[in-house]
Amino acid sequence: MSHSEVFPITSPPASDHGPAVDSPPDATDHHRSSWPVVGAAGAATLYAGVALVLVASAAGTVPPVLGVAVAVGGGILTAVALFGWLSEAFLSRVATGPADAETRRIHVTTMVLFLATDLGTFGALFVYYGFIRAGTWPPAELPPLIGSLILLNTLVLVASSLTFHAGHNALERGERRRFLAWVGVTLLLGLVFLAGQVLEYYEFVVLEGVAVTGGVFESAFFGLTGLHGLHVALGVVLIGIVFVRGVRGAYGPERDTSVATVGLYWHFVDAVWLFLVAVLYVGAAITF
Amino acid sequence: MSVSVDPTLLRVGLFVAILGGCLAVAARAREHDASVRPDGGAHARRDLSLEVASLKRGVKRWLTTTNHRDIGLLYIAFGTTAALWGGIDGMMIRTELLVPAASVWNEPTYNELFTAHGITMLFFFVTPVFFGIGNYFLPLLIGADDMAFPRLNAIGFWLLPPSLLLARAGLLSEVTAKTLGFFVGENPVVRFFGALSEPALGWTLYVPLSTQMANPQIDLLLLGLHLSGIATTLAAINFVVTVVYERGEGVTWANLDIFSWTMLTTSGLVIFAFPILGSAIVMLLLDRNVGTTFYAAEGGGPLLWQHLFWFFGHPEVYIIFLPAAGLMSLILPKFCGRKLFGYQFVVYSTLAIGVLSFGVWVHHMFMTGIDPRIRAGFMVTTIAVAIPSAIKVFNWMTTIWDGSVRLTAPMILCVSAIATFVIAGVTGIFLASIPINIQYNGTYYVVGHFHLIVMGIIPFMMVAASYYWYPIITGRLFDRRLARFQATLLVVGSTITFTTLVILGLFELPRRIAAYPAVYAPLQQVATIGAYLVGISVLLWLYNMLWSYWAGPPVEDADVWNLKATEQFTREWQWFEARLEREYGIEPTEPATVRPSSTAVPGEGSPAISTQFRPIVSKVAENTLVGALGGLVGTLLMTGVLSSGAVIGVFDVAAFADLAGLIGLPQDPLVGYLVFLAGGMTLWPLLFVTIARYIPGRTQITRGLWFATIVVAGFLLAFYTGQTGLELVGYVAFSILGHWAYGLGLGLTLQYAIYNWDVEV
Ligand code: HEM
Ligand SMILES: [Cu+2]
Repeated sequence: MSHSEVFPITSPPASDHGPAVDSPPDATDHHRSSWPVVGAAGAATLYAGVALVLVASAAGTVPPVLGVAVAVGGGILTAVALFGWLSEAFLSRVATGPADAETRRIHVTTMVLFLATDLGTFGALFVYYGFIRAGTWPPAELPPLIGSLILLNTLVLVASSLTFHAGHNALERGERRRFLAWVGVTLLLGLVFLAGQVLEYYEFVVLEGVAVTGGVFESAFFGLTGLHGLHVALGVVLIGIVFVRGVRGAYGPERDTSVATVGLYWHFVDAVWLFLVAVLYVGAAITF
Repeated sequence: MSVSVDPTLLRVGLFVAILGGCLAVAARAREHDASVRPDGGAHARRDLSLEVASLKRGVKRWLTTTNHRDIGLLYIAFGTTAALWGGIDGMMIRTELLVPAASVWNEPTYNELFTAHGITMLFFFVTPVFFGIGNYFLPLLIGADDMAFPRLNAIGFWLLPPSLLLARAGLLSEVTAKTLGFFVGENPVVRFFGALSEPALGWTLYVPLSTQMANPQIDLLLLGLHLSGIATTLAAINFVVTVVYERGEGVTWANLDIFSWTMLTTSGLVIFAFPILGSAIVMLLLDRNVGTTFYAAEGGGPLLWQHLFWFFGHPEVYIIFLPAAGLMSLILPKFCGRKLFGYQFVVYSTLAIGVLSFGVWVHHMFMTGIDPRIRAGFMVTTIAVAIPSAIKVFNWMTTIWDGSVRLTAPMILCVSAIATFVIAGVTGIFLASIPINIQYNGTYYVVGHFHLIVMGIIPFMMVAASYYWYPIITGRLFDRRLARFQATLLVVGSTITFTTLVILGLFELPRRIAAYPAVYAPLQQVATIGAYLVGISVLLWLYNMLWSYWAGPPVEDADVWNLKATEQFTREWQWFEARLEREYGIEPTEPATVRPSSTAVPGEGSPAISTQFRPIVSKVAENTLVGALGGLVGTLLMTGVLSSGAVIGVFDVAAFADLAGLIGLPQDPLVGYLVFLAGGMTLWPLLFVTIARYIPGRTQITRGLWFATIVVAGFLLAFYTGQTGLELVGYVAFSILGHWAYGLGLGLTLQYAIYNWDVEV
């Protein structure tokens, strides 16, 4: 019985990790981690940087670049924290037997829940588009939306979903090389899609003079494609991680949790794209 | 009345003063801690050391923890701090409203106050505190080792403080600019901070105001809300996964406690509602700073903002309400000695609310000129969402029914919360009706309606939970007498304040305006006094929590609330008991008698409602009938007396005509007399049989005479027709005589019924 403390209100202090008698067993082996607070600090710095830019341009006493620098610093810190977190949580426990089925289910569910939140994130922008689409149409002259570029890009993204799926199948059959090949192809296709998107923006903004602030359609167009583009970019990063881990031998037929979750994400992004093409590209061109 | 203190400095000053007070209480309490250990020795004191080394250790320990109980406490501390902050704003709002002119502070300050108040309370107080309670207790309740993702849990919390700072940076920078300006005078840094000031928008951030106001603090607020939204969403995902996958052995969907059910549903709502707010906020930021057209008139317009905001906003009100309902369902049964009545229905109603709450948002937009057919549809869904809420209320009331109620501090809060929720819900149903909404939506009626929830059941249940679980969290007991007083004061204060606001609203006083016509002043002052009572009660709560943490008597028996006696010693208490035994050698105890929390024996905690119901109905019917008969006899006797008075000329029959006119009938003495007779046969006899046992006298006859003597005063006022002098004396005498005749007739008839027909009164 300890005399140093009346009643430990919660888990014992960090330095007390020895054979502390007075700490409940569930607390002694409890994990501690600095990454969450570092990540939160990074995100906070990122937001503060953006805030600084906005205040600086309003107050006119501090150069806005300062804010940009802070924001970039925050972004880097967040990335570092996330990487530290990932390696602490997953990478450090690499390649030990089959994954626990329960753990796999938990992670897959979590991804599904995350994607459910994405419905709202995209949903709000689609609602805006619905609002303006229901008004006078076209609101102004629209940029040339449907062309070979967009068709090609759509094909690329759909194909990348298929290749990822093929890779996952290969993994389940235990064909590791094939799995890596398919994931590698998916990674490339994702990059090609992003390049296509950049090219499209370039054509619109620079060649056609379509500005983000050009009008009501432009807000919808850049808002939706931009948000989607960010999702693809994140997806490419995730697939990259899966690829690297795959090369390091982290996966097997029974150990495919992150392949499954990243696959879900990637298919979702693909589905959103198809919806987006149907509604925003094709839907804008059709007039009654 | 005019105050010369700078309101900005006052707001920060008060906050700092409260924090200082907390430290002082803690320090004093530590010195007073004379408690004795169970083994006879003196308890070592709790640490309250300000040495650098131990501070450093403490900071590191709290920053890096991923333990659900630690994070729960961090959440609760954060939420409480936000509540104090928002509470000071609330007190200052009410202070301004003491006088009709906007002269205590001024109009811009008032607008800033209610904006900051609403946002701080809704986003930074309620959800964090409930997530904190959930973090601490949900894993214990479901037998999980921790939350499913401990690190995610930690970051979900750590994103909140910076969010709050961003959202409230206006106040901080105003104070900084003022203080700095005082010392160094005008310079670029001062101007930088001076560029920000608190937004004056209302928590709904309506466009076009929010797109047109230049104040860059609006951008910071939006960034803060966005960041806090991310934090809340992460926490919600964690809760869902925890409840679905981390339940311990023996915890099934069929016996999952209601609090966990409500946290699950709330988290589900967060997952679908918050991202929409997130996107809507980013669109607003882009409109303000980049020049997009999302909410511009030619784009989505103000209506788009309102749709997106309320599609989030209505689920949000249930996000904050459901955990309170869960705590009610969990705590209430413990102090009734009965298990929750209708568990399944409470679960289903929780889920039903979850689903329905996404289908009612347009009731916040009835004034925007939306197609009347659509409005009617939303009126129907809104009224429908009241049904599951009512189901909960009836289940709670049935749980109390015939239970062995113990009026502890948590129980006082529980029963009061049911009452405030009923008023809040009923005013809500009225608001849902379109014509009433059109009349009242911009008035204090709405403020009263929702505050009876956000200051009624929500904080009531938080405080109730803080008392109920205090021993588990701290290992000590709080001052129970102070707690009962505090609970009562909180209830009285909130009820005074917010029912008064409902009344002010019925007089159509518009909300969100600092100045008001002088006729409203008395009611406004009543509301303010109530608000101050709430403020005092909050400080008392804080005092009790802090003082008892350092100086409260240590727990010596895990069954603090005597829950074993009714077999309601639930998992979190079992965990606590095991811990006490393991760490302090405190042996578990067994109560002398134990009975199940659900029994068929009436009076033993479980009513056989159907069998009890019939006697009650027949008794009520019997009393009504006998009362009516007695009333008839009494009224006829009284008529005789009054007629004599009329003949003599001291009583004017025209008074009957007035009575008829009063309730909207033709002003005819005969009609008036019939009304009088009806009243004499229903209202007064029913009142009499209800209170008869408290009236002095052994027989119904004496009681009847006393009763008549008491009620005659009202009659004298109502039937007075301007008699003076001797006429007045006669009027009084005949009225009294008439009433005695009535009381005699009523009492005699009842006594007769009791003797001869076995009627029980
Ligand atoms: C019985 C169920 C309820 C019904 C029928 C109901 C109905 C309504 C209606 C029709 C309004 C619109 C007033 C307006 O014209 O602006 C309203 C406003 C409001 N309600 Fe409720 N309500 C209910 C429960 C709740 C709950 C549980 C909360 C939780 C806190 C709540 C919080 C609010 C708030 C904050 C507002 C004001 C929004 C504003 O600032 O304009 N209500 N309610
Ligand atoms: Cu609503």
